[in-house]
Amino acid sequence: MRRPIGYAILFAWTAIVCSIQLVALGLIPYPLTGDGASGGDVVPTVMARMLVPDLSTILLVAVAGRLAKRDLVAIALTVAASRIAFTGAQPFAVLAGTLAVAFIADGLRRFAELDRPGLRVLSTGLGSFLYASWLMFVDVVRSNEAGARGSFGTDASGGGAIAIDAVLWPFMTAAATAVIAFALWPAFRNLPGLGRLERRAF
Amino acid sequence: MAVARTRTLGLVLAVGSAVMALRPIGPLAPLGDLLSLPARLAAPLAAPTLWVGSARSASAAGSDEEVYAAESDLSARLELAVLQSAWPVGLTLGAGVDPIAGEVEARRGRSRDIIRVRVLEPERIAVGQPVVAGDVYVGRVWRVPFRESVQDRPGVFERVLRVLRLSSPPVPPPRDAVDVALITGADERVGGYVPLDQSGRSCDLVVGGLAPRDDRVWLAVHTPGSRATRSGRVIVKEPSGLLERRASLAEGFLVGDLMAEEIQDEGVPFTRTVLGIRPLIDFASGLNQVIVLAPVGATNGSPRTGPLPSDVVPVMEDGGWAASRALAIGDTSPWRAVFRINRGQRDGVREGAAVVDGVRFAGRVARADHLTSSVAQLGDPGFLVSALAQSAQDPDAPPFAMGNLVSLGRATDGAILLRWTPEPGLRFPDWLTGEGVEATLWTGSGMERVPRGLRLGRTLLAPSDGSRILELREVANPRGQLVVRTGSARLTKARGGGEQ
Repeated sequence: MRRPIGYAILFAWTAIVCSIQLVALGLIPYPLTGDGASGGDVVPTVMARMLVPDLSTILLVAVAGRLAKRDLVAIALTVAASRIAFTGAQPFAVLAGTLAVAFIADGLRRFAELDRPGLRVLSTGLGSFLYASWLMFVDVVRSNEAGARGSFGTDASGGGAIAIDAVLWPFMTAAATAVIAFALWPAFRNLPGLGRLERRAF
Repeated sequence: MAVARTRTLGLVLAVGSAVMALRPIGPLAPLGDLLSLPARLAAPLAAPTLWVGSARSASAAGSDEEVYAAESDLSARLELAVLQSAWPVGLTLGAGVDPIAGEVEARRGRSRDIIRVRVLEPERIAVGQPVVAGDVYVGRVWRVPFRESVQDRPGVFERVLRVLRLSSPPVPPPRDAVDVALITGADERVGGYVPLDQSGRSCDLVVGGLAPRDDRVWLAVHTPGSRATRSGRVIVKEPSGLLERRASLAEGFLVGDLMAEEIQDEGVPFTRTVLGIRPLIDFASGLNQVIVLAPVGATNGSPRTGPLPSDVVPVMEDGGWAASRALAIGDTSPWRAVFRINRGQRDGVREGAAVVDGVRFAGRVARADHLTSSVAQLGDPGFLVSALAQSAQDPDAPPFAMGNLVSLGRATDGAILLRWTPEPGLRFPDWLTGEGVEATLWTGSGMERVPRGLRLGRTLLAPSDGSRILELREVANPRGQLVVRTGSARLTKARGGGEQ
């Protein structure tokens, strides 16, 4: 029962950090560029919102770096199942992205422990960048397909209105995530209850 | 060894999930629902998201009693105006013609020339019957899907999938759904004539498809009786007793205005003359309500004279709505404006279903999981909505079919920014003049599982040739008491009581 409870706690912690992320996003308004009132081209930018760090990626990388390698898939599945509750993205897209981030963290672990400042920044920043890029890509592909079929779908590029900004979004999120990971890594690594997932040598 | 196996399993899962994310495979799609099942457990932890930003929501909830009553009344008046706009005004229906009202539901698949219409009295509909909107000929009944037999011969693999509940038999189409081929279709033809051209002569011609112009608006003209005819109003003229007998019911209905244009293509030294018909309605996005012209049968009464207020079914009172509430507002993907509700497939919610706050349109279901659903808000960048504009000064005036609006997101003060790109040749109503008129925007027809007559908000509207940004205010509040669409498209009542 020890390990199932541990996974349940991991599920809960993922939900909590995702909730904190949503609260932070909710506090940030959508600033505008341009002056729509005078008839000019106004483009609402989501730049400020992209500076909210991807906390669930930090948690995933911290946990994947701490626990046994053979538990990697189970950890990724647990985190993905919790993440799905806080996003409108396709469940399979979230799962694929989460697994990819977990494998990146595992791959970097071969060279050194992820506790090192450089590696924690690299792993979380890279993971966040790839995850955000992947979800945006899926959004665009599915929206274009829905548009061609005549069924409902939305375009992540805002119909082209914010296409220029869209290229920068993953970089900004990655940078913000890396900064927070550098500062708060110990907190994520030592969250209560996750010790149940550690495998003892004897 | 265990690590290697885990790694292989993980890689297979990752690649498989990536493929499924981009190209869903039907029988495996329910596995995505399994992934989302635990999401319901995480929902209570997202409660703080409902409190954040609530102060910034300037508008009152649409479910407030007074607001709901006022907006429901406006919605009913809009609906009556739409029904009346589909009724012939300048023409009188002959004694042998029985009009059957139909609401435009959606375009079928990739074709822009086939629309699905939900009709009253589907048993009286026959293939080939003409379809009109007001005084204008629109097309003909192309197919009645329910009458076509559905061949269900599953193979062994399909049977196994059905046993495992990963597949199900094909769902028969609704009884009241009819596919209409618009006159814009390349293969469609209708006879017409110009009673008086620029020289006072009459000219017979055939109309069908689109003229070879860049904007693809004009209808194409075929075999004109006289090459000298360059202008005039085109009227349907079908010789009865010949091939398309049923089309003769549309005799006298309007098609459009004959126009001629000299076009010089790039790199070509000479000009070519394009003869076409400028339509009187916007085929791309202006069709909300149509009438199918059927012959009067032996058991029919006298022809109907037009819709009455008693024919209107209030949009929120026709059934097919389930109460719901928001579980979380926001998306960890920062570019999306999404919230989650506590209803899912188990409750009959499907992708694209409307979510409403009172009468106010809050969004459409982007993803329906088994127990919960993700709803894309109107402020989600890229959100596409078909809109009708109602004059705030005169709500009973004919509404203006604006076409599709694309959301650009939400402004700092809470207003939603929408990009409106009028279709070329769009005709503006009489009440829409000058620099700007206060208007209320409502959902139009053509969106599956989104009824017509849901309030989008208020904006300042002006005639425009090019793209324009609209600021929409008094929008829905997702923190209010929500309802989600679980039923099928709404129909008006037939006089004397009809089915919905």
